[in-house]
Amino acid sequence: MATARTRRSALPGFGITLGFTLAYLGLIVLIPLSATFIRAAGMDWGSFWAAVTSPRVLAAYRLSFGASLAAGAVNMVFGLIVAWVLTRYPFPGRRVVDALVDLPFALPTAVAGIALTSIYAPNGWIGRWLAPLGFPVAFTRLGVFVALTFIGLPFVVRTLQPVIQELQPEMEESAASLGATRWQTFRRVLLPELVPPLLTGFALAFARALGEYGSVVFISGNMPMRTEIVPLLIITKLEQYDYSGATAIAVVMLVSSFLLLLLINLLQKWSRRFQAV
Amino acid sequence: MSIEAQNIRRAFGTFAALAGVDLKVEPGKLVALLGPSGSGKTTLLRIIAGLEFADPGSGRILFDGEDVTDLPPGRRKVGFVFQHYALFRHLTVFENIAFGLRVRRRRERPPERELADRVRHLLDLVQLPGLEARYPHQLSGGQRQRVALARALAVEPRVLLLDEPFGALDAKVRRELRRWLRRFHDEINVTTLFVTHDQEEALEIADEVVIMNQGRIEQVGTPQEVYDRPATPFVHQFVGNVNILRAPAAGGGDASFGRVMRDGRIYVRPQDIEIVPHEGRDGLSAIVRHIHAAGPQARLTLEQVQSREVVEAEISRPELGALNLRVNDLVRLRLRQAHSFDDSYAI
Repeated sequence: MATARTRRSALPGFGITLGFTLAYLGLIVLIPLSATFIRAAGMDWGSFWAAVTSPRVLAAYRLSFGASLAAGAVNMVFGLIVAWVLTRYPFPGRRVVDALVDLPFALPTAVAGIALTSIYAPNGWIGRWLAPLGFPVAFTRLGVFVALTFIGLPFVVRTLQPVIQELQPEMEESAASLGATRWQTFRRVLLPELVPPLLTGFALAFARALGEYGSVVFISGNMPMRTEIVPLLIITKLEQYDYSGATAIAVVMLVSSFLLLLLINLLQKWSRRFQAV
Repeated sequence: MSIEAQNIRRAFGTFAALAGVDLKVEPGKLVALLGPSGSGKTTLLRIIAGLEFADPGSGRILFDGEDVTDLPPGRRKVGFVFQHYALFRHLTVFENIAFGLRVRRRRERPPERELADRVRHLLDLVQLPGLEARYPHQLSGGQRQRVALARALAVEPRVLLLDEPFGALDAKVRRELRRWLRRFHDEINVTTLFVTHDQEEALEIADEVVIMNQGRIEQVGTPQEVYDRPATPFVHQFVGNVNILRAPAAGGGDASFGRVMRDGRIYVRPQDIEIVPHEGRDGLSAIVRHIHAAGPQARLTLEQVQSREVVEAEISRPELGALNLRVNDLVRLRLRQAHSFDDSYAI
């Protein structure tokens, strides 16, 4: 800080841009969030603890974090394949498929939820084949996971695409000429280059899934203890005028997501240790 | 290990990158593929490495008589070094060099101790001891290129192929590194083929120079052969500096220039032009237009009186002093040696 202020720099404007950044983040992010904390601070410790550790709340936490992590992980694998195909191979209709990836971004989440529900319902197009096999999707936890996977996919694909585009073909060629198989080349040469964007995509998809509400409420059935997600539980509390209960749950949610995202960021930093700054 | 390319053709659309190339590289030689960009030299190198393939139905690639045309690059046992190094940036120098050994099948993989010994030996060989733990971005360009060379050598290649190995380095490092490569080659004695567009580089270190143009080989020979006896007009222009004079003008009715050539042009190197005072009767009249004397040789730009063609000449500094020349002086030019491409002759 001190050096940035006292030394002349070829990149001027540090002071003013930092000031703007802090003011903007404060206005848009911190003030609304701190309201949550202030509200929760009004509770005494005992009632706060009771509010956030009731079995129904704990079940919701488990489902929200579990399904979001699982959806993020699945998106990492399949998002990588989609991004790879879309970047590496020219094929007829590639532009159309590429545009399809963005649909989960653009679609109102309620529309997505209703569409997914009607498809995966026991009499829907896909649901009617899955239900007899013992995999009912709609109105189960699996349904929550499906909805969260749907809305998270574009994050992984869009973070990976530019990086795959920039991969040097010489890397793969030199690996091949040193005797590596295609799998070894992928595993030892390409994947390490892709880990940082994969983690970024994962973090984005995960964060988005944690906060997702619109699409999940339709497909999950919202059964307490079984298919109820945290955002829905907060809405329920609010509808019952239990404002402090709602904020207490929100605070725990906020703190734990922040810690998880921080962890992912650290992991990402570690995974780019070989890159020049 | 000898390398042989027989009738290699490669077309990109309608553009023929290689129009039927035959080449034989003798075992243990250091050979330069020299040509302007787009001449097909890199394509030929990549086809030999197996990174690209010749057009179906065209020729074959042989290593020591063994047909490797259909072998994938990893099975050809070639070491390939790229212009921009292509090091694996997420791996340390040690792991970069060990890469080719680590990806071997378990049976052929050396044990860890032996592998480490080999990597260290290679680092000594390329004169980078102690840099095992560095990442590529912590090395200079010249060091990276030597790591790339060590990595290529780790798999004990039968031949070494280098694609513009010094192209991304600055001039001074480039000169040092190419002399080092020459000594290094004499030490390891692996048949080496390297691509360059820098004639100085090729002429200085190669045992043999292969000059390519527009997908064809123009001439193969030792540096001295291609310089002194260029086989085609292209080679004459590409290797070293040359004046191209229209023969009638060069003849100028003057007996000292001999016969008029069939293609109407003669090729004269700047240092083969002798400058004599204008009082004599032999030679072409010319006016001195510019004298550039900052260097071991003086370079003169002259304009022929009769044809107005511009001629570059190089004479030694003492000669320049003896002639006592100034800009706009009138002199006569005599050609010690010249080429035409119906036959070669010296005056």
